[in-house]
Amino acid sequence: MLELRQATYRYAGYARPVVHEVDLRVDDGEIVGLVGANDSGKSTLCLVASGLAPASIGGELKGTLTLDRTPAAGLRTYQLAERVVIGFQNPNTQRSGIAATVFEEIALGPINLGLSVTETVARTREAIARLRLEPIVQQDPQRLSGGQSQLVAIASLLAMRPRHVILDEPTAQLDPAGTQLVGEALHALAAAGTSLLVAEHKTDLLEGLCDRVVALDAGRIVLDGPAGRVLGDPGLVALGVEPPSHVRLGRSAAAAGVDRARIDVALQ
Amino acid sequence: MTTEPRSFVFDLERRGLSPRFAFVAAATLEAVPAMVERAGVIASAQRARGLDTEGSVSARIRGVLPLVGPVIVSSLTEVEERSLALEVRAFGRPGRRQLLWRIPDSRGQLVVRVVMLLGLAAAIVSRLTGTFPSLP
Repeated sequence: MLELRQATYRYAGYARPVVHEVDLRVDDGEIVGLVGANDSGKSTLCLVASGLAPASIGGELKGTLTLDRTPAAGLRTYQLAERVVIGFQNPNTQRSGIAATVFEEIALGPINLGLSVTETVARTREAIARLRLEPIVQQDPQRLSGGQSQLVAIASLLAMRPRHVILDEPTAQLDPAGTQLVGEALHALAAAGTSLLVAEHKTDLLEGLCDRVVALDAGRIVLDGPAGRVLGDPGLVALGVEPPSHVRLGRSAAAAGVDRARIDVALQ
Repeated sequence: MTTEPRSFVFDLERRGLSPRFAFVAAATLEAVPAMVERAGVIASAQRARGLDTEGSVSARIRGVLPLVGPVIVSSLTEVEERSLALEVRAFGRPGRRQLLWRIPDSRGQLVVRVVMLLGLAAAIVSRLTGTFPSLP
């Protein structure tokens, strides 16, 4: 379980906080989606939930982050890494730059954890299988497509076998097949008890993936509830978030004067 | 070079070099091709907007100068995200790491190393004692 209480975070050198009084709890096995316009504080909230803000990048956090009842305050970055991982949007900056093959790249996290070679290999193979990367394990990680790089970056995180996973737009560079693959991998993680927080613009993905969705506006949580309810909320568009395609279709049809009951039947 | 730079660095770590230093050494070696590629991308982007990078040597140097800033700045802006991504993967954790790589070290290589060390010792001793003829 990952829990933020009254979290207000200000970057070093900023006059004002970027996230304000956020209360957010992600239970074991739960997938929580995070939506909001650009600049609404999604990425910052992800960093705060990962503990890296302030543990690595500095700044000031008021309120608390708790990871399985352990307060995150005071943990070193490598101690955080044993409990929570965060993936970023750009896979190119997440490559270690020292691995000659995709296998070595994914194995780096387990190696850093000081695990035995047998354990490192087992975890690496498991992460590779989850994202079906077997065909490219021997390739140079610098010579992959954007989508492949993104899958490798996610696999590199999964190989750490984290209890908590935070992903900031994990499917930005992925095609529909890759997006589905990530969705399946995240479902499997949640089924094994991992708590996940996923910031995404693709609301269609979130609807199928998440138990709960939280909407952020100007650094504050403005909507929080079951995925279907939040993503169907009439106020979502005003927050700069595009609702899932079936919601938009239903609204367009209704605006064109089509009977509501017939729309629902057609969408089913 | 007959030895891959990475193999060299990881073997040094196996022999006791700190993982942090090994990373810096390995990443520096790997950063060169990445930097060349980045420069290529920026050069293409600038050429697409009319930058002339062809012609005489002086014209080419003048053409390359506007690329230096963007290449360096774009490398630096990524540093923070890169370091975060490494920290997420427990980089900097104290203690030994179990590396996957075992650099083959044959008996023959070991013999050659020992012979070379003995030769070095013999050369120093003979030079100091004057038993080895000095070159004119």
